[in-house]
Amino acid sequence: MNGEQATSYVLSKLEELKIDHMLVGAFSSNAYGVIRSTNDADIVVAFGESDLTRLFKSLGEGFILDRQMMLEGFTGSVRNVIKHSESGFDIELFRLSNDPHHQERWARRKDLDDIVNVLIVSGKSLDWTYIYQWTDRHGTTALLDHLKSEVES
Amino acid sequence: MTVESQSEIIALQKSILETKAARAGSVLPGLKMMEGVRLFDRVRERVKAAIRSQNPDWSEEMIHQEFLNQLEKQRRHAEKGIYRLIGYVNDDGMITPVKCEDENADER
Repeated sequence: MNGEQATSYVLSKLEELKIDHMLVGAFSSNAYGVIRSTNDADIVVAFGESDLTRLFKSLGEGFILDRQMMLEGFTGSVRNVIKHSESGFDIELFRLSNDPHHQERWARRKDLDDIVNVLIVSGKSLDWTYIYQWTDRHGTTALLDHLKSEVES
Repeated sequence: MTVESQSEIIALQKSILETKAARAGSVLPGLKMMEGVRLFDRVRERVKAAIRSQNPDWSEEMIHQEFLNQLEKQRRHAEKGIYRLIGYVNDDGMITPVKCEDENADER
């Protein structure tokens, strides 16, 4: 099983177990922006108490659960990692928080570059009223306008 | 750098960006979504080929392990200072929180 197959397999198991989830990170920026390589799949999951172990047990051989729970400093998101040993690909599971759009999320240039690439490729078809509603709420409108000006210049 | 060469570079940058955007925009999002992991799969085989050629007497298992070690080092470097350990998950999905001194010890 390669990384692509491992990712599809994990997603199919999330569906099967009826665990709400959303692909984010490079998978979403590749869909709407410019393709870049990635060595992990970032998935936001609405985990109930035993869902992580339920998911892990359903995957079977070849997958390793990293038992460490990590807290991401920028957003306060809690992460668990499931490793696929044959491909070396990681599945990173971020537990759904009440507010996934923390302002601090945008401290890394890599994430800003993803936004710039999405603006370049899909900017005209985005729902700007909806996006500005969220940036106003999170105080990131000036940052978004700055990135838009980078694209337009 | 002359003003002329600077404006040529800016024009070239703009042209590269436009080509890149046009290429990316011409493919449906659903088709592009998995491209990042497909690239990773291709790169993995090339890295392993390089390890194999540098170590012709190694088994495939040793080569794969070396690839995983290199990847793990790269991940740790990229994540340095971003994550900190807050606990461990047991077989039942229960979480055992770590003490402060352990958090620092395992910080990535």
